[in-house]
Amino acid sequence: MNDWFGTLFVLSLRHVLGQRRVLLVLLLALVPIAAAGIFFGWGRRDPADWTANVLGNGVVISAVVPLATLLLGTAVFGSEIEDGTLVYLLSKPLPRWGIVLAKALAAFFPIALLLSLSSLLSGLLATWEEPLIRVTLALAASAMVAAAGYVAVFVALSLVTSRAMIVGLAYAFIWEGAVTSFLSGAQYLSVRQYALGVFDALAGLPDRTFDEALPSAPLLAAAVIAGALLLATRRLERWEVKGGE
Amino acid sequence: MSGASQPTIVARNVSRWFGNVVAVNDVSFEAYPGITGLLGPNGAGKTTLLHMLAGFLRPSAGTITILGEPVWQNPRLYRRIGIVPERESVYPFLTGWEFVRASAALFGVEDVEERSQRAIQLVGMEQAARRPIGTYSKGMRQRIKVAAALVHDPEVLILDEPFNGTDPRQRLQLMELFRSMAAAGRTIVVSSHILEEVERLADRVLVIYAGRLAAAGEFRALRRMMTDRPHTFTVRSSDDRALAAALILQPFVRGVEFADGCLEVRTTEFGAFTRALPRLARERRIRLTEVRPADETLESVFAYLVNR
Repeated sequence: MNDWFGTLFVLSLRHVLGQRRVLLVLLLALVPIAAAGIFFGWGRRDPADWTANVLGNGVVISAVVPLATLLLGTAVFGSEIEDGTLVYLLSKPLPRWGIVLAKALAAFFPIALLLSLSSLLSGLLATWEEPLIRVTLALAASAMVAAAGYVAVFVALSLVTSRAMIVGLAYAFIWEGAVTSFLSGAQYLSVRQYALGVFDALAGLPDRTFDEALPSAPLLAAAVIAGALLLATRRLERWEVKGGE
Repeated sequence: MSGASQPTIVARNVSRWFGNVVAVNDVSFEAYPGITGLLGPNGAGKTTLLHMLAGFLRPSAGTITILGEPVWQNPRLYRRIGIVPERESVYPFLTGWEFVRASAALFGVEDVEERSQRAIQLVGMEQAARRPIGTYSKGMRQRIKVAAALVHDPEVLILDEPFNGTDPRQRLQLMELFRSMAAAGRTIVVSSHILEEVERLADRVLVIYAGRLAAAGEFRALRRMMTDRPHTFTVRSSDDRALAAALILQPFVRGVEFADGCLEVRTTEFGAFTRALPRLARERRIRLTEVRPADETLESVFAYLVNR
């Protein structure tokens, strides 16, 4: 990538980091560490199982990652549409895919940094007596896959609808939380299931960790990320300014 | 000027509607190197038209080309265009220098530092360039936006109300800058709702009213057209009846009415009336206590141009 992409990325990153939402993401990143601390303090039967099912599936992948990515993923374009700075970017001779990619990366990097640290620390804390390094690394890796998938989906949503936050919440907690449990085909359109699939493949636990984990999760995640970014690019190419006379 | 060169901007039967509301209605014009003023009251459709010129809105009907290329969905064209939107569109956390420098990098210019320095100098913002934009006054933000829009030395500059918030000295400085760019062969389209601003700046004027192109042409011709339209004056004097009798005999007076202790005089020729009135009063030893145009709002001028 040449200088324009670097400039665009840094500009987008500073715009994201200047928002109060980052503080909420920071608080969310502390939740897994707090949960692991509680587990560590009050006895546990099977650290590997707890790390996979409660910490990984229950806390990090199903709650912390979707909420953090919803906060920043919808804001990278949403806040620029609101404050008019998107017009500044769109009046430049930049390929629209470049703008989308820079914005998505600007949302992804702070989350990736905070949640990878959070996952590693909480994983090590939960398995303190016999550190399960592989399980912990699998947790961090699957959190990154989830973060990348959710960011791409929520960035696209912010250019598709002005109610991206509500639609995003509905996707993460109704579609993924409820619909996928009774409609088996729906899991193929679930970022959470892709992340669980990656966790399952990397954790190296004796039995498959999750019954519903998808064997082709990395491929599906890559396809969804690419599709979402492509959709966002198409929307940005046709984006029209609002509030004329 | 316009006869010799090719039009840089061509708008053909351009309309834009939002649901049932027609914001711009069948507007056609050509803009040439030099300064074209887009004049109209607030809400006339100037910003919508400028947004279409800038490629931020798709025309509902008609076409717009700049430098021979369609502007909608053609981001590469921005290498040759600079845009100053009316809305803020600046990052408050950046310093003026960082903002202009980022623009130069995003426009893909070669010598980023040197061009940024020059653009900042052009708008006279060297002193404040290292301060965050969030601390700038409205006028300073306008000037830094102008610097960012011309850092790549564009052939076409589109400016939406660029003098908003600027003080008279800054205004003069910006006007001088735009005039020198126009003299160097650039095409500048500048919108304003202030007649005097456009008069001092533009060679050619497009008057927009209620979404329609009310008039287009050289500013002097337009000024004449505005001046020669029918006017209504309120006149008070020491002898309204004698003055009315004298006025009604003049060929340029269309009617005289008595209203609330004064005269309402309708005339077809502004200049002839204002010259004749004092003479007629002096000849009849009538003292004039008030002479006031009754319909001099810009709104009424635009309405006349549309309906003439």
